[in-house]
Amino acid sequence: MDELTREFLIESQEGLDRMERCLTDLEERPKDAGLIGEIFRSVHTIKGTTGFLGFKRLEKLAHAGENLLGQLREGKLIANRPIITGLLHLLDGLRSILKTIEADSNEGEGEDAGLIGRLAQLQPPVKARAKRLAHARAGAASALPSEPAPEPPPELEPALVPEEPVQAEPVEAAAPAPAEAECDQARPRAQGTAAESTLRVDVTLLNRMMNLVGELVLTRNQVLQATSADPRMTLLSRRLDMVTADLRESVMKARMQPVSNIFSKMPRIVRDLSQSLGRRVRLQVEGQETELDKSLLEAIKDPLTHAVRNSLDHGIEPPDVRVAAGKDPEGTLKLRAAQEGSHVIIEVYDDGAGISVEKIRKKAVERGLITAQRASRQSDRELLQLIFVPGFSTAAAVTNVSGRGVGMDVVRTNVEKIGGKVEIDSRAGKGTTLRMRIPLTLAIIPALIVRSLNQSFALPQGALSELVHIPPEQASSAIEWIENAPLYRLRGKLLPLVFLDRLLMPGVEHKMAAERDNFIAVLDADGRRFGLVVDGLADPEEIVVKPLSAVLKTIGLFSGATVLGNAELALILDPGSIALKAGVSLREEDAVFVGESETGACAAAALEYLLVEAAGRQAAVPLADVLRIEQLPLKRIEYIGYRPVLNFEGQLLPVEDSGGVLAAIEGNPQAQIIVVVCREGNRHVGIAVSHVLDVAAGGDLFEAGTTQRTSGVTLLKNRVTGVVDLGAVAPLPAGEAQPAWSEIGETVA
Amino acid sequence: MSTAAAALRVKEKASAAALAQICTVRLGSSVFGVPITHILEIVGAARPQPVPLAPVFVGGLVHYRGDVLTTVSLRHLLGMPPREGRQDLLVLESAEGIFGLLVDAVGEVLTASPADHESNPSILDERHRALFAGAYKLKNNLLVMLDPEQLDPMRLSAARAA
Repeated sequence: MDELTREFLIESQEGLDRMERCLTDLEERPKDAGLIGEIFRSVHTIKGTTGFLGFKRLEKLAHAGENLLGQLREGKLIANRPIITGLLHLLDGLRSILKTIEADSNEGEGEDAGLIGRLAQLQPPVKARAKRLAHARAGAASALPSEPAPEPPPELEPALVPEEPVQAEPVEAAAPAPAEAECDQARPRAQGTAAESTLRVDVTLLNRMMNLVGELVLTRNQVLQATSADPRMTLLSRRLDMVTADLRESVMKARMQPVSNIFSKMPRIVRDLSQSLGRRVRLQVEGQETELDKSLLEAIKDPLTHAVRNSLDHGIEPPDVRVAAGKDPEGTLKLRAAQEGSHVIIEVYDDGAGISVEKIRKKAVERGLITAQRASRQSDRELLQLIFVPGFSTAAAVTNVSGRGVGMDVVRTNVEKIGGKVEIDSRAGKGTTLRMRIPLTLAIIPALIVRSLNQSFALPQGALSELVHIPPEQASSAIEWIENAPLYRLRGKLLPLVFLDRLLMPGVEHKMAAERDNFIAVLDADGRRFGLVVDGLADPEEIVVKPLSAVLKTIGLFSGATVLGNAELALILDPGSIALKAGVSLREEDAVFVGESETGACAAAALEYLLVEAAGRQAAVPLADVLRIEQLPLKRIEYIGYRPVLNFEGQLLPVEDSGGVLAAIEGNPQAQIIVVVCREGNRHVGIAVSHVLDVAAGGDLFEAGTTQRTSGVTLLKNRVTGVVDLGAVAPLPAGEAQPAWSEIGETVA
Repeated sequence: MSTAAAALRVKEKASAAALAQICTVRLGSSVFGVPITHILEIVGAARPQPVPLAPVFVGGLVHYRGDVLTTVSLRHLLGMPPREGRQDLLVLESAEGIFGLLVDAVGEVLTASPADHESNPSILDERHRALFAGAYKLKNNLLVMLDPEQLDPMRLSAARAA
């Protein structure tokens, strides 16, 4: 395909997208001249270019549409529902021809006569008479233009071309020409400004740039490691570090697209569906400007469409039902997008009937997804998440829109495939909210580096919920077996274990668990919860994901590869596939926790604490703030003045030592200390402790005689425990250390 | 015909266009040729990272200019025992993409005339016939040519499946 045609296709598609948006708006404001003008221009541009490129079929269809739009623009017609439906059909017709051109480089053999006829029919009788007149003049006596023409090509041309002579009626004659001229002048100007500040870039080029930046990040990591000893180089490498970070951010930004790219498809879907289902729906959209990586945007298009369909089909009730329930006959569907940290939240909310928890409970028990006893114990919220379990559908009747039982589990699978999470919240009679949590980008992900088979593997942090260390001497008692299935008792519940070395190298003798260190990475993947046993742990790293060749993709256990800071290659483990391969079954009861672990985080995590001991005293750190726990030699601690700090690849972490842990072991060069790294606002702080004891739920304490919650202390394991006040950790002195500080979260080698 | 061809060869000796450029690679005591047109780069002393559960002919992964390359072990393909220590890597381009070929060592680049090329002998066994693209009759020996298209891991795994 030549460059010109390609450009034409891109431009036309953009024009049609714009037209679609305008059409749905036009339904609400049928007299908006601006909207009509915009739609007219889209079709007019296609017609103009297409004639030049010689796509006759497309030109004919666009021409028919342009005629109708011309009437609208001149105010001779009002955009009523049939007209808008007709224009939407025109849009679909144009799109399908463009698609054919894109695929085969020609227009194909389709038949547009019916559509052209319908468009002609929508025009007022004056026009029809004019056409008849035109026909008479052109000498084509036969067909009546008011009927859908059976043979459009020979007959439409004469019907439409001699428009000028027909418009001899004085009122019409003057109108179209200046308007046309005006818009033709306006367009190049508008395009001019856009063309000056924007540029079309091939996505493959952007991917390549992203790759190279990833490469640069790795090289930088190595340079930083190599030059840390030389003070003269330190300054230079620090600068390299900053430039690289900036560059990476810019390239990532270049791949970002506003959510409006997919939100804008929704008005049309809502319109078509609400008409066919007999609903009245008002669509509200919020946060359209929120940006997301292009590939992720593509990936959530289907789940989002599915969610919208579901809301219309099962959520919002027909108007009479709504009135009977005392609601506005017009339902509201709200799409909201917002960025939260390194994730984008997308919500689909409807004020419809909501989901009846009772129904779900009944259905789940009926289908054997859950025992009646367990169902009665579970909270409504937990039960709601059951709709994501495969094969679960509450639709009483199977409609052609949704309710075939392949609904929400596909939404969940799609969203989890890109590292996102999805959950649902609903109140019977009030409405339903579906919330998707999508990572900002896929190209660079945080991962924990684990060791097995003397090799490094990267384990995506998204699936990791906790780590358990079992030293060799405890292995035989801590790991229990049922036949040949290893299990670990995690807080009283049995967790199936998968040994990574045995999985990757079957048929070879491996060291017994009792002969080596065992680390259990507790993973949640696609509703499957299991522990992956590895021999060792290395640092967490932000890894640049590189695709594997097709041959290695078929192994299925690896989602990609990456280059670590020490230049070693590491395969990226795919927790979902590992669970499948190892035969970890989807335990529906546990499936609930997947949704819950995320949502519950806000409610429950506020109450969960990490219990630590610092120089003989116990203290609590809010678990939600804990990022990681580091064990390191005491000599790693350095001092700025009297303040202890830790240097992590050039990023300074202030270490809080109110417990006096550092002082207690000072002078012992072999000593190890434990630093709990926490998030406080937008910075990270470390807390020096001597032991990490446990994770426990805290209980509220009330000041005697009041109902006021005490602050700063909580009840942990029936002991009143002080909570470490992270906010009180003083910031580092301003100066050189400060700018590097704000960059925490950068790649750590 | 042969005298005419010989005359032509003398004439065209200056213009390299008619001559094939061949990179030689050593594997144990054998030497093979790879058409230079398919070689993107030669990387000395590569250390491929093994991939558990990968097809046996995969020699591991190497990091090449921002991408992760799948490599093919020529030793394995030709039924030779694996070799300890580092190997040289040819980065090859095939219709399917780029991949690495692990050999013991990369030798010199030769030029040979197409007239000296002969296709695979019919008595060659099936497995080798698929990998070789004929041989050049050099002054002292035969230089067996490898077919980069057939060495592509995608091809190899398809051939194994068949």
